[in-house]
Amino acid sequence: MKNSFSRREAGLTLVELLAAIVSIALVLGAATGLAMTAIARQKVEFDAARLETQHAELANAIFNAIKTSDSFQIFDSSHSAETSSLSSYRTGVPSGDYLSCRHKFTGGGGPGGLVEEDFEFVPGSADGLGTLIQTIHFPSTGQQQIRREFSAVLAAGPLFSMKDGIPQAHWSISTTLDRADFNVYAMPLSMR
Amino acid sequence: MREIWCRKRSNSSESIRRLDMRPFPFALTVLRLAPFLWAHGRYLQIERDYMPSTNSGGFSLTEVMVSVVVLSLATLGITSVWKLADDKALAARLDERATRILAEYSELQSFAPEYLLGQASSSSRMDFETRGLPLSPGETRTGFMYHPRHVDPTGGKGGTLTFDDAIPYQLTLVMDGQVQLITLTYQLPYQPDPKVTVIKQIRLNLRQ
Repeated sequence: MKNSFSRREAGLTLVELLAAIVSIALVLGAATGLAMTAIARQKVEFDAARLETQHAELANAIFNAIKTSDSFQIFDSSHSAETSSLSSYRTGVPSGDYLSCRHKFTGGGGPGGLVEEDFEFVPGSADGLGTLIQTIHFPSTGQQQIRREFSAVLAAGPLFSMKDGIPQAHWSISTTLDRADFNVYAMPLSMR
Repeated sequence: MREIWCRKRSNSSESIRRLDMRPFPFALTVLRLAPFLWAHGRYLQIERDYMPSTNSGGFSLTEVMVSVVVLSLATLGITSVWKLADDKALAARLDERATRILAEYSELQSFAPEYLLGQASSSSRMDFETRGLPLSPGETRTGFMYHPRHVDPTGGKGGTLTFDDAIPYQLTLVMDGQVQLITLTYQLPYQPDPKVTVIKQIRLNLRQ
């Protein structure tokens, strides 16, 4: 008799159990919603910061490429640039979407080599956002080229120019939060 | 105490009774003393373990209200932490942008062609009007550090690539002895008044 009495007192009624289940479901649902919102917000912030950091690296790469180049040239497009020879660039334009920088080096008393660093803006089709492509060629050694792409680029005009006699690049990026502007001015050491 | 459960044992049987104690507020004390007052009282045992709690029916209204308030405060705390995180992330990005702007002008001030020096007027102008020109001594230029995506207040969907201008900055050049001092100032938007003004400076050697 004692056991049956204990069981009756220790248990939960169906209504209590259902109420508990509903309460737990509500709490878990609210907590999950809160966590999902937090994750989504964090992702938006993270994506914006990462894209801006990537383009800041690209801006540094363009700055260093121009600054340390032995020769550079701006072209309308990659098609114009491809017609240049290894010894010298063909005639370029004051402003365009293709920048090529060449670095000559000598090592070990050998014939020396050439590294060409190119930057090309490829306009987008639908969303108005283009891509900046960085390519590093090693024509003297035949080494495989290095290629990096940087997306979400907004360009009001030609990206690269020689306005006022200063090699420069201007572009913006559209992040998940805002627009970030990038302006690069670089006088090559060889031109000082 | 509304009721108690009493167990009465004898050699041949055992029984449990529930006694309603509400009309007898001191009955429990009498029952406790029963084994000492009455010979058969030792067979009477109060089963405290079986005594149902008067509080077992659920939470009181006060408890529920307090828990609701606590949970609400916790939720508010969590969302305020989100805002704090957003503000700090924005401050970090603005700091990087300020550094980039100063780096641009560092290059212009040091290596721009001579014929460009002094072309910018000494009056305050927007940055885009004088883009690419070095600063003149005493000149102030202004611009915007932050361009958030445009939100249409009417709820309409405008162009997705429309941005507003926010967080203005000022850039000044002062000749300080034998150095050029470039100062960039802007205010953090989320701080309560008085707003925190961020000042970043670089010192450059005079051009030779």
